[in-house]
Amino acid sequence: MTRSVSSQPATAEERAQLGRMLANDPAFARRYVRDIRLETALRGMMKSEAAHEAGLVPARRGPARWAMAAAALLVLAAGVAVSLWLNAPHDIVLSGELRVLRDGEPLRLAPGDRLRAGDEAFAGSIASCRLRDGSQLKLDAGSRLVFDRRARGERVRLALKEGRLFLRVAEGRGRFSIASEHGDIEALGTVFGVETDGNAAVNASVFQGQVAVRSQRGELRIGNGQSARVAAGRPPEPADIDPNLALLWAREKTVFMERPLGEVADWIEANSSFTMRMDSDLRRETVSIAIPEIPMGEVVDILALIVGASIETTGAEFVWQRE
Amino acid sequence: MNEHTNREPEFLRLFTGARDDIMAYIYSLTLSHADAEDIFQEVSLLLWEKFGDYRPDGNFRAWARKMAWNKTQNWRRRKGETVWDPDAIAALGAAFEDEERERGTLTDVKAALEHCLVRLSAVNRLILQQLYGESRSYKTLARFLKRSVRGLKVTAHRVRERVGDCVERRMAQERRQA
Repeated sequence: MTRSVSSQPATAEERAQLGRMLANDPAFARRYVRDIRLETALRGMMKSEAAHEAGLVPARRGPARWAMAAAALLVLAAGVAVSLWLNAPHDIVLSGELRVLRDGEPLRLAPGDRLRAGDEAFAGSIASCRLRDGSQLKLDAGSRLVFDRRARGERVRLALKEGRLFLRVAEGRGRFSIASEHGDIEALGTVFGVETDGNAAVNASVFQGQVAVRSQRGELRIGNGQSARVAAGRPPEPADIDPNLALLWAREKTVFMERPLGEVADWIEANSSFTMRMDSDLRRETVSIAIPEIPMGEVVDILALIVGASIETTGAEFVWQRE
Repeated sequence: MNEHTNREPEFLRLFTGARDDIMAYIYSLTLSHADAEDIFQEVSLLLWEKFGDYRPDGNFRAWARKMAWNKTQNWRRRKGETVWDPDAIAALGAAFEDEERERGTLTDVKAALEHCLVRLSAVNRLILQQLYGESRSYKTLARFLKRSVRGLKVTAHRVRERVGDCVERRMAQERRQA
């Protein structure tokens, strides 16, 4: 009985009938209670889960497509300072909210304010700001970052003291280098991430393009969907880290409501190491989806189910075909 | 000041532990989540007001069920519904007590459920999340998934059956290991 009415409130008549059945059949009462307990637990857990994820709500514009050549950078630092240099022609302009210390004093920043060399930013929750050149910087909760500028030229230096950093650089802008005491990581026009752990090692993960990981012991170049690790006194080595999982924390909570599948596919490409291949008919197919906080591969599976398509996978390339 | 004010920590401990069980009981009486939540608020206040009457060696869940039953009967009267026969409420109370004694509290059910939900495919989990977490209607969800309402109901029913069976197995396993 619970199962037949759980999706909508019971009527007075149904409740009266339930009362009669409970009074006359103890075995039914036992089954009913078991069902109710499962129903309550399921609802409680799913509500809690839904509270942390975007819902199926309309009226939100789909995200703009980022340029394929844009670069993203993730730095995970746990007790190890990692520095990042960005060839940016302008100061950094804040468009999100961060708690900032300037000369040791709290600074109240508003959208449009400029950060100066020496400013130290703390993120109480995931915080995002946009650089004037169009690049996007995102800090994970609990992260601490020092902004700096080199004495010569316009190169900006970012030193991540703690936490995780995600950086997506606008197309055609400067190169990135990340320095740590164990090695340097240089982006060669790419989307990539870097992580350091408490064991004083640095991991780099590539979304798109190539990254050169260098230490005093050698150099390693990695490409799409690959990761590398540099430990103290060791040459860079390939690492078994999936960039799509490493960068999951930085993914926007996104809802597409009746948007073309092609737009969703573009968003997936901009937020993963995957490449989507589909014909123009499929690209025009309209879909609605709240992107859950699950690996992007599973998001692709759900989309395929929604539009009734099958997918063949070759490495990081997903080829869509209508079933 | 209420004479039981100094028992506040005890009340909070008992109430927090039994909260989900009380909600399940009220839902079993109303079969309406919205009404159950309203009644639950009233019951929560009543439990604190009457906590001075509760004996520390008593069964808090059974005591809370009596309060919830009274509140729900009042709710039925306000709605002009037939109040249940005492045999019905006795059978329901006994079934809840038997379940709690033999299988554990709702906290135990949730622990087993957590184990089972991670084993679901992403699509099936999405269906449950939308139906139970977001309270989507079958009609809305079917349109979203581009499926028929009937087909979605069948799928949801099967998923729920599978989850229910998994929870039963998991709880039985936990009891054997305890």
